[in-house]
Amino acid sequence: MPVVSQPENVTWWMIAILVIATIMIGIASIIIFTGVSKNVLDASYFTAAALLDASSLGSDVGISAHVQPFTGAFYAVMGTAVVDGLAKSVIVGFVLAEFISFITNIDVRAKFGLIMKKSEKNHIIVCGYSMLAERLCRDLADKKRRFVVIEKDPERANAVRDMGYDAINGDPTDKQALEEASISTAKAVVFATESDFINLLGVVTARHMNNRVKIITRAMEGSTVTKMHRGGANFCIVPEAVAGTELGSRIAGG
Amino acid sequence: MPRQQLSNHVIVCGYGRVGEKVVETLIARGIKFVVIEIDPKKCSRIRELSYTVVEGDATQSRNLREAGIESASAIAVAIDDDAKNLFTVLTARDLNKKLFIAARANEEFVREKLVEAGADYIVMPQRAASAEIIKELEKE
Repeated sequence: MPVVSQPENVTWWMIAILVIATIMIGIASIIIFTGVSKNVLDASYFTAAALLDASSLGSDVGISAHVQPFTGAFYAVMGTAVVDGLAKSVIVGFVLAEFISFITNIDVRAKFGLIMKKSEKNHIIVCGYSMLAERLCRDLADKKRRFVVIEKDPERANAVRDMGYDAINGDPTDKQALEEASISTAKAVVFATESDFINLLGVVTARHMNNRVKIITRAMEGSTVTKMHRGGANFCIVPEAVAGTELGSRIAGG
Repeated sequence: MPRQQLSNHVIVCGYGRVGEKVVETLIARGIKFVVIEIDPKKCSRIRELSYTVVEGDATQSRNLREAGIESASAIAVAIDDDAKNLFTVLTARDLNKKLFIAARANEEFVREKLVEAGADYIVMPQRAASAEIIKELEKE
């Protein structure tokens, strides 16, 4: 319950604070600056007039016919003027508060991200935020390459966003997620999950959707490499094999 | 056993995906090696290939001695477990001060620890693969 009613409470608080602040500032400024009156009651009159009906407070006392001219006898109509003024203030305050809450509730990042994704071109799609993808994203960011990550796990997808990268929460073997990542205009797709099955499925789906895109995939076992190529991958890599070759060459060379 | 007479050879700890490639590279360069592997199934496969193998835990100095660590020129520590690799590097450095130690690390933070433990060269599969992928992306 408190969770639900909280936003409304905020709105009403805002209205109250806005109205009170406006009136106080008005009264204070009239007393301090204009010198028309040093009397608080007179100053409230000018404030109400200025806020609600004044067209030219500066010259003489140009107040519209709605409020009586300042003759000193205005106290007779003050009751009406105050009620009228308060009603208008509440309306103005309410509209303002609603506007503010509307502005603050817009998820600027999500909207911006959507626009960005729509116009994405020549980018790289990284599928599955594994340890390899983590490293790859860091390297791509260092090289100022544009990329978007597709990650199935919502929490991990959020973690990717927290890193400041673009992320789509979805299944990388699914057409919809790849479409959302603009595969049709992408330069390359990298499948980096730790499952040969998911990677292969992704490779086939991606190849089916875009015939020209460069597809790079990771394989867990050397035996899957040929399958990946047959599925449509341009480049297949087994990180452990790369590391093993590097270790062996280093030992053999030095 | 012939491995007692081996010298200037390379010890490969762990015959997994990394270790297998290390062995492949060493064979291609004609370098003598001994494998230490804990898994009996993998050991029998290695024997079938007629490579020299010590069946046991590479973190134990007994097994490292059996593989001839005192007279070896280098060791490739390629177990799929950062903690075990660290332990093996420590033990190996203890047994032979001049040995060239190359080790695999999965996590970034283990890298420094391996160096502190005495490793001369570290390879990280993810980092190496990422570099290859970037190279591939930059083609054309």
